[in-house]
Amino acid sequence: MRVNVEIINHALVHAPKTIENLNEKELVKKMILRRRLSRASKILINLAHKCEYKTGVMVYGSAYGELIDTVSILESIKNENIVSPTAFQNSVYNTAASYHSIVEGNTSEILTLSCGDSTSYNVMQQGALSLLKNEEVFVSTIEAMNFEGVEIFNKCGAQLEYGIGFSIKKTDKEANTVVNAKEQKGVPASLSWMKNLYDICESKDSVVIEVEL
Amino acid sequence: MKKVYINATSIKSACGDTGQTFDAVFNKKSALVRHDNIVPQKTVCIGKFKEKNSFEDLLIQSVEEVLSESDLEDFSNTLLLVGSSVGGMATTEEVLFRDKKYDNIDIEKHTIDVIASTLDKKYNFLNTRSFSTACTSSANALKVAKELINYGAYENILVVGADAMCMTTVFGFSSLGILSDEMCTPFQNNRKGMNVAEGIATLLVQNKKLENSIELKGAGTSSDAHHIANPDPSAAGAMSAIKNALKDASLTPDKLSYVNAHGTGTQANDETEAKALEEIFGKGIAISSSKSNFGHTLGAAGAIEAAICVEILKRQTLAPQILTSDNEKDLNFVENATTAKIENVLSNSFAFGGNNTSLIFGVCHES
Repeated sequence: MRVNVEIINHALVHAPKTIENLNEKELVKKMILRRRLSRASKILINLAHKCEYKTGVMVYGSAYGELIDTVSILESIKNENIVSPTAFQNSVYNTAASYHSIVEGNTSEILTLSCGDSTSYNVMQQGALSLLKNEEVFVSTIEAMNFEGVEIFNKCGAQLEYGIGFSIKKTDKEANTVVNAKEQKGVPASLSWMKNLYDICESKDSVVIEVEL
Repeated sequence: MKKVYINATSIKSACGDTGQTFDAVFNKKSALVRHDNIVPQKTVCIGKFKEKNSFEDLLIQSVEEVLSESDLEDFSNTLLLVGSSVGGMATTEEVLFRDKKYDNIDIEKHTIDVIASTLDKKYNFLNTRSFSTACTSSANALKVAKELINYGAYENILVVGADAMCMTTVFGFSSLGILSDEMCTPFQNNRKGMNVAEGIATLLVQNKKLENSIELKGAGTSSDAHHIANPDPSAAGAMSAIKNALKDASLTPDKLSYVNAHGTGTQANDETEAKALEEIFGKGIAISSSKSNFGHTLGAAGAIEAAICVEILKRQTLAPQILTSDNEKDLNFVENATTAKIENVLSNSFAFGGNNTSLIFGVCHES
């Protein structure tokens, strides 16, 4: 089954190590909440803001999840130190989307996917399914991996913080774009498909894609 | 909208295989064991597999059991949906705690996706997709399976919920002060918290009714938008998920006979869930939590407890809760396995981030 999806808004943030100016002070007024946000949470809140998406269904993806907090917990156990409760709370894969829901008061469905290198395409597939019952959906994929020792894992030289988001809606318009999953230098493989879609959005006024569920 | 049927199930839990798990659930047996040597200066009670087989072997066994119970020759026309909260974390921990360094860790074996890719290599599924929303992971996989079949996108979907025992979760829940040193006592006064456990469940979800099919009638979700780890004490999020499931199933609360509660045994979860259940169903509906039998299997919990709901409907027998002698609220907790006319049942799953998912299963009447 195929669903035609129109891209309403698109946003991208990335940096070789740490993205600066995610505008979190402006976007998350409560300091106590802001201080607890994971890096991926800050990136997601920024992307959703850029796409003017506050409430509604959110489909979020990450191949590696909250690696920074995960490593912190593993280090604590390895070194026989006390595990930080905040690190544990923030270590689940749906942390970023959950913080966004708390910040915006979004009580709608949140789904988090983690599908390896094809995460961002799977996120769009899930978003397209959600559009059958919802007018507008926000889909995004983020990797935030800037922790000490990451170079052991990051053999392909991907930028350590990378996030892409789209607000999407269902449409009866014909598809005018085909997106491939070709890898791009510096882009984490899990985001390749979305990066290619983002690039098309930057060069076209109207983007409609056909998504196989 | 096409109807959605559960046509085969398999469970691997601390209680054992599917039959042993059902025996524990219907006969009030617990497989939870206390350990003094895991978390320094603490006793923790957790649910570990008794079998010596590896997690991967048990995972494949579970899928193999469902395949042999099904009408399928293979999974070439089947979508695989996986729900897991920790994925390959146990493998990472094994290497890291042995070597004391990260050099030999294979990051691809660390991910959530390792479960789907392991199964895909063996069975060559039509496609795979993995969900990780903490303790609602496999309940959400079932919800998505229902939608995909409702819309006719797939004929066969295999849903696997799987989480292995990890020190990350044991130490993590311990750090939050909600890990009990005894078998959990859901909905009881003076409850001490939850028991982390490992588990696997596999369910074959199809668009065709077979002789022993149970229907997946409704699925509802919501977000609390309240706190990253604690449920909203107003129970608004939990109630919203349950109401959304009822609406999806086109059922009113009086048409349900039983709730398999999320019932973790923590103060916050049980208080909120009891409030939501009383508000929607009143005091009469039969309730039990299976967490005292095999623990909280985290991302696998939704799938395991869905398989238990399927068995309850097949047996027409309410599953009891191990302890019901000191209930915090005056609700109808099932004391002993009871034969009854059971048409529809609810299974709740709630997770970190205020992620709520409710599923409704029911008897099929049409031929």
